[in-house]
Amino acid sequence: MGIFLQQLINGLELGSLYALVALGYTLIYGILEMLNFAHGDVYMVGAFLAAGAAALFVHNEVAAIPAGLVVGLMVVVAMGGAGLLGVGIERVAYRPLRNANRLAPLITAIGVSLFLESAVQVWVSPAPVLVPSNALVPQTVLHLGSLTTPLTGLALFVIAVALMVALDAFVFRTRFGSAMRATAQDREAATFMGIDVDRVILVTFFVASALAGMAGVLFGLWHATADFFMGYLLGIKAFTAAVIGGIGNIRGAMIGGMLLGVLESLAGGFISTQFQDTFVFLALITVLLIRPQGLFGQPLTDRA
Amino acid sequence: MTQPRILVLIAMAGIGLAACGGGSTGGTAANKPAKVQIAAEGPFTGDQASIGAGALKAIQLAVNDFNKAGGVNGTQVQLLVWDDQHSAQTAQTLQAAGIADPTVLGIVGPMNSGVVLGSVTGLQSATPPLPFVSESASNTKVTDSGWSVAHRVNARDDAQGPADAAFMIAQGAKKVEVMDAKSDYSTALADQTEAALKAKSIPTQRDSVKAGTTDFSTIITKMKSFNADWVYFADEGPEAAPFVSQMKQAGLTIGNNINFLGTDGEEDSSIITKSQGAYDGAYATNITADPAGVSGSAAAAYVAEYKAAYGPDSLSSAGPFYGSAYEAAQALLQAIKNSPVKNGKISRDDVISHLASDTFTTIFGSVKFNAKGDVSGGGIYVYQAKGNAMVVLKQVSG
Amino acid sequence: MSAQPAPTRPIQTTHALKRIWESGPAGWNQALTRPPVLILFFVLAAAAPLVLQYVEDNSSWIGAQYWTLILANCAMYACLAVALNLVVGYAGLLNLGFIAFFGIGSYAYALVASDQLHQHYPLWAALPVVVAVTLAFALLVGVPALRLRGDYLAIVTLGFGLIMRDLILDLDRPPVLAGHQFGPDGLNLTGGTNGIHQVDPFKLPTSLPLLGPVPHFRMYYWIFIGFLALTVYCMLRWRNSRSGRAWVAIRDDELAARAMGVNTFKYRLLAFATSAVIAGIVGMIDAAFIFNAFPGNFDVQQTVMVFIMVILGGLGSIPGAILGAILFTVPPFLLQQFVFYKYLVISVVLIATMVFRPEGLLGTVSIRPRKNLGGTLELLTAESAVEASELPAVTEAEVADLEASAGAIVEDPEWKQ
Repeated sequence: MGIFLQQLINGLELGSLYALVALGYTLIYGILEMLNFAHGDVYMVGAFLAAGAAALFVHNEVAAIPAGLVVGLMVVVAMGGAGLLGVGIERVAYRPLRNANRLAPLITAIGVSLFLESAVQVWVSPAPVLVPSNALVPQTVLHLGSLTTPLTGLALFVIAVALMVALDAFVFRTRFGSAMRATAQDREAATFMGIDVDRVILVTFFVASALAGMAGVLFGLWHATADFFMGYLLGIKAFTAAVIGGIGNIRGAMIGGMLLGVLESLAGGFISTQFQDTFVFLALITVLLIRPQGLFGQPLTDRA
Repeated sequence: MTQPRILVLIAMAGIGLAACGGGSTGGTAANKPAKVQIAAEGPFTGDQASIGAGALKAIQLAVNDFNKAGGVNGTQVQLLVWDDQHSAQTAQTLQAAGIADPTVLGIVGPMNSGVVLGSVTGLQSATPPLPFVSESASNTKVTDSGWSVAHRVNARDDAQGPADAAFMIAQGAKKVEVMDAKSDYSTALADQTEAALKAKSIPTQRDSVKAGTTDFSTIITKMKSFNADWVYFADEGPEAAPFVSQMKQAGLTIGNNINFLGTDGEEDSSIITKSQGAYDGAYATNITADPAGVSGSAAAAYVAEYKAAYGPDSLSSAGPFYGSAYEAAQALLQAIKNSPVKNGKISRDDVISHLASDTFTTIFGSVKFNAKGDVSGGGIYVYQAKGNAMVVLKQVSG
Repeated sequence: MSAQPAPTRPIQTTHALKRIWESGPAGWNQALTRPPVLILFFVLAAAAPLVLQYVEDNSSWIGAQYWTLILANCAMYACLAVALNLVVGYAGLLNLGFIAFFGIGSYAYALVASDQLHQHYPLWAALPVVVAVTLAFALLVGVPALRLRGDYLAIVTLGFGLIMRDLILDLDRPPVLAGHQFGPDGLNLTGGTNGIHQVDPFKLPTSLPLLGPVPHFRMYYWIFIGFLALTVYCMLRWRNSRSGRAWVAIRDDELAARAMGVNTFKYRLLAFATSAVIAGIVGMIDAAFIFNAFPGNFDVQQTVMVFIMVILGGLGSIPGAILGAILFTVPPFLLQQFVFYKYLVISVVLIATMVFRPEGLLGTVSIRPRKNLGGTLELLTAESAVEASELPAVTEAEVADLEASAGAIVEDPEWKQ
């Protein structure tokens, strides 16, 4: 039982990372109905930005300025940088294709993904880089009976949930959120209502990418590393999570992410790590066959 | 068809690039070969770039050094880059360029055993056969199948696996967590080690991580409930730092309540800094010597040269094979240099016979290939992470 | 846009050329798929290695074999791209697990024609096995998955592709699940990370009348070209048949197609299974060509590559698929010496091409732009519909109207299947 609960905790922590990235997929899909294949790589760039910001002030595991300030700076740089990257990608690679067929932006998204991975590999590092978490955040390990979790893992979970709640409130409670929903519902009608659709889309990209950047910071502080290839598998899993939850549905993405993390953890822990992903994707296929619109999605009209 | 025109352009571009390669340093005209090329092959981009990129840089350095020292009787060696992306299909196509061109005298690489096994038939059946010296292909079949083209400077899985198992047993291992990274290098090695442990009735638990995995909490929880006192991780390297950091977070401290034996890629002092010290006390074996951990002026000079060429921090992303890649290139280039020049040409047949017969001077001392193409007396080196360096503990034989 | 496609074809007068050039992609496609043009293309393609050999024999240039192999890669990817075009371009199904069928074909052949299971079937016996195995997998995935649509189909097929890759990598030993071993010790099906080696090539004559001895690589190049010609022929015939019209109808407007009484499920499955079997056969030829079945050849990245070829060339266009295959296969070989920068260059070119020509180089299909529909409706859940007070201009009536129309679709019992 102890092991089961421990794997559950592991899964929830990993799942909150998936959920943060899945939110970006679902937001962008919800507004533009496009699969932003490069989103996982935006998360990767966020982690590298955080690592870079930390490297400026941390030498030999000692922070030159107060640690809290460095962490704050990492968050600003990673969220801001990733957000601007998202906006730039939208501007250069997706906006010209907004009225093209659905597959064209998918291909440019793949191109952007390939570009970001190659660029980081060539210009930054082909090997993983360090995020000096020891100097920045307490390395306390929390114990509850036989269960343990690092404080940073718990923080990841708590901050992720808080960000998701905030995003939910942003979309459902603010005036700008209703403009987003109106754009999602009918872009042309939204234009007639005086909504600046371009701005809504830019902000959506900024928010989605900033969340991925934040996921990069949280991951860096949790596991102390960043790697040019880290966005690939995580991107696929996060997209899967968004689909399980019902793509386009914010709460679905959160729960889908958590669910996927837990599922992966339990499959690896109790069946086999070799076939971990096999079971995760079998579960996905089963969910979709029983509930084609995802767990929380509403039945969709065709989008092929 | 527009191919021929493209071809001409490519050929011209190739000649242009080659011309930039460096001026000739003279030499007697009679035994000066008209053109000498070798190829570097490996996964230089993509998901295995962390092992390939550093090896390619090492080979480029080796060729530059060789050319600065006069090349082959005054002829500058040109290096072709073949990025096979660990696909046997791409490898075969790229190798065809060398098979057809008699001035391509050898390959440094391929780096993946699977790629070697998937393309060696073509190299062997070429006329004349195209020899290769791999810096990292460790599968036993690479040299056991009787191919005269096959050489490698690294040790074999069946030497490293049992040696690793014996080392852990000698250190008192009771229960071992055996992990692989689902690559052709790491799975085969983990199999060998696991078999050797089981033969000594040591209980094992086997787990796999995929390339790109960054969260290991599931495996670490399994490890703890299995009560492993040793972790064995056959890996090219990128996963080690996050893995040991997470072990420490989960309360498994290396040297305290758990021991860690890594392989090749994990024999890398940058893992100590990248894991913020969690790696301290871990052991790692390497099928090739690490120039940074070997005493001797040639190795030290090479390390200094590598840093000078690619930046002071470059060793942290050089990967596990930057030493063996240089060594393999040195062996191949010396074999070419020792081969007779007839009518301005060197024959690959002669290169193969010189690879078989000669002793080569490398940064790690003298190297000679045995009849199979393995390095005779090729040792496995055991390192330990101490302070901020990997320190050689001893050399064990297979 | 370059005028490349038109001038290389034998059209009588410059006037006709100009007319074709001005006719746009639809006209180019029509011109390029005319039988004389296609026959000429395949004759030239078949003659290419002989020309290369002639140049090599009569000059100091060496590279006939290398370039024939690159062309063989092009031809192989062209076969795959044409097959993927059937399922994506014709039928509008986003099959992201496509390359898995190529892998299944390769491994199925390798298992019956190597020492792995000590079977050495000749071609005529191996072909039905390969077709049956790929078909079985296609039905296994297709029958349930094709009831989903759009991006859901995409993610299920992507999951299938990842599962197949895991199985290929891990079935070199009996699987151990939850502590239990399934299968006897020493069971090795796929060769794991090393793949299966020493696969038998097809037993073919080593020399042909008139041509004399034919080296292995040239023979397989011709096999790929021949198979490509056969596939293209079938596709063109099919395109104008009842099935072809049904596919286009489904792709362009599934509801309307249903309303016209088209059995959409049947035609989707037909497209899905056919493209899978073509990919399987290509996989078989490839395994015999390179003497092995190797897991690195079936990465998800490979699916992405074939997708890029199809979409870059132009969705729904067969000449486009072939052009895309050439344009995306050759540059990595040309750029070998710029190793670290090659994918930077390729990705920038790819993005630029799509931005300036979103329908692809020779594309005619524009899968319904969704100008009016926007994204999904789910950011707007029932209990939190946009309030009229927030956005004065949206009337309750409009919201209700939209919901009603969505509801009408949803409540259609046929729709739910």
